[in-house]
This record gives sequence, structure tokens and C-alpha cells, in this order.
Amino acid sequence: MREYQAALREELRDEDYRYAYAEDFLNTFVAAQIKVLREQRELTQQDLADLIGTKQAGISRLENVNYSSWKTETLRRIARALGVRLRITFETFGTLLDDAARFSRQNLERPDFVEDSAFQEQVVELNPAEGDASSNAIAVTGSTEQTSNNSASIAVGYETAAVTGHNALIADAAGKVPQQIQAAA
Amino acid sequence: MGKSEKNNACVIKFPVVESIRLYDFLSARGENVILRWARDARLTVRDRAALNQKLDRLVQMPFQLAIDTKFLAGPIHKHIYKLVVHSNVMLRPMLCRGPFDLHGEYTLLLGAVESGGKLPEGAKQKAAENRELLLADPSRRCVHARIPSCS
Repeated sequence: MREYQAALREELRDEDYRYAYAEDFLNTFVAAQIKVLREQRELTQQDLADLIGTKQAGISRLENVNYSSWKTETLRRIARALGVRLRITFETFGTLLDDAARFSRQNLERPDFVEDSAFQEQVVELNPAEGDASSNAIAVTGSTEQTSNNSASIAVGYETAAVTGHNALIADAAGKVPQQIQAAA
Repeated sequence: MGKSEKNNACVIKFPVVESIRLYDFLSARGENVILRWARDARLTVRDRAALNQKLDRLVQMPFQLAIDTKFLAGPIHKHIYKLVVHSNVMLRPMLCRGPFDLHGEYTLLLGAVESGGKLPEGAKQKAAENRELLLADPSRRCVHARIPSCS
């Protein structure tokens, strides 16, 4: 993986190359993620087409990695139908190295809002073994995620409402979230 | 909470991405036919970027996802698929799954450029022939080499 990233890093020093690579990557990412999210929700292309008021052929076109004429409004409607938000950001090319290295079906999947861990409150018992009523405090925990700010290519992707980056930071058992994350929130 | 547990309080998740291996077919003289094709085809920077991007993603996605998203088209001939790369020209390198490990590898067998929606005459057959040669002689391939700028 490091060899691959080192090779890509050198290639991206060429301006024309990096814009062409980033554009092709974006098209691949958008098409593959729509397909993966649709299947994750067990929807057919026709189901998704009905949800956003278009034809099945339109969804098929959007799921083609060589299609690049998608419109923001269409992507926004798809996001709503899939229970996720659409995120559009301008990014540095440095982030492309990580995004490219991490590309996988698993990394394209996103839970819908109902399954979004940030909105699922969990009750955690503290010191349950001690049997001391005063120590049986409860804490509400959730998970949050770190924002990758070293982000200039355009990135488009679908995210859960609470997810703003790739590197998930999990709160500890007491529900404590690192300070920088609390500040970001 | 022990020391190690404390250290695990903040976990950064990096999902493991398992890659499929990619190989290039070698001619009888041991020459990489894909690099040779890329050099002879005089690929532009844009072509090269698009081709490398597609190959980079190909090894990261499940085969069925590659088919469903029109990444790969086929089989267009006996076990032969073409990689669909839209650039200044319609690059269509041809490949097969395996052929020794069907789920863990692809082998690029022949480079091609599509014109008017058609592959060059005999290209599919040549790719299939290369696959047969490889099956007969597993040493007729090498680990895929990225398409360089001086190709």
C-alpha cells in the first residue's frame, strides 16, 4: 500500500495528471457509492428511481463509473432517498492519496439516519460489579468523528448526518470525547 | 481501567482493504505487452491518469461491483473482459480473472483502443490466445507495472 501511495504521490506532481486522475476518481466514487448505498438498503434501481421521481435508466446511468454529467440537485434527491446527507467539499490533492488508498466497498457504505450511531443513545452502567448504589452512575455515549481539515480537488460523497471524516474517534466507556472533537462539535 | 485500556480510549479506525493482485502478460521474449502497448499507443497524460486510476480501483472493488458499475464489460469473448476507460481515446485493455486464482487476481492480456464502439479486428481472439499461453506457462506474466509517463 505504501509503495502504491508513493508512486501515486509522484505521479500527482504533474498538474494535468492530477486533475485527470482526481476527476476520474470522483466519477468512480460517486457511481460506486450510489450503487453500494442502494444495495445496502436493498433497493432496486426502479425503487430508487421511484423515490426520486426519475426513470430506472437514470439510476443506471448514475451508477456508471464513466458517467460524469450528474447534477447536484439529483445527488441531493438521492441522498434524501437513502437517508444520508450529500457532502461537497474542495480538497487538497494530499487527501486524494488517502481516499484512493482506502477505496473499498466497505468504505463506501453508510448507515441511514435510523442506524446512525450518533443518534442512538446508549445507557452504559459504570462500576456495575461494585454493587454500590451510589456508584451505579449511568452515562450516555455516542460516537463522533474527526474532521479531516487538511483538505484542491472536489470531493462529493454521501455521509451520515454526523460523519464528517473518515477517521472515527470512539468515545471511551464513560462517554468522554476528546476535547478537540467537543470543540469541533 | 488498565494502562492499555486507557490507551485504547481513542481508537482510530482504518478498515483493512484487501486488494486483488494484478499482473501483466509477457510476450515470448519476456516483454511486458501492456507497457509496450501503452508506449506504442502514445497515451496522453490524461489517458495515462484515467487508465492508472481505473486499474488502481479495479483491484480494490469486488468483481460484481466492477461489472455492475460498467467498470468492466464482458465477458466479450472466452473469459475475456475489457476495462472501460473513457479518455481522449477509448482505452480498452483486455484482461481475465485469474486465471490461476479466480477471485484473487486479474491478468492484463492485451492493450486495445476502441474506435466507433469496436475493438480492433482479432483483438479479443488474441487476448484469449494470450490467456491460453499463460495457462500453459504460468511464467508468462509479471506483477503489474504502473503505466509510466515515458511509456
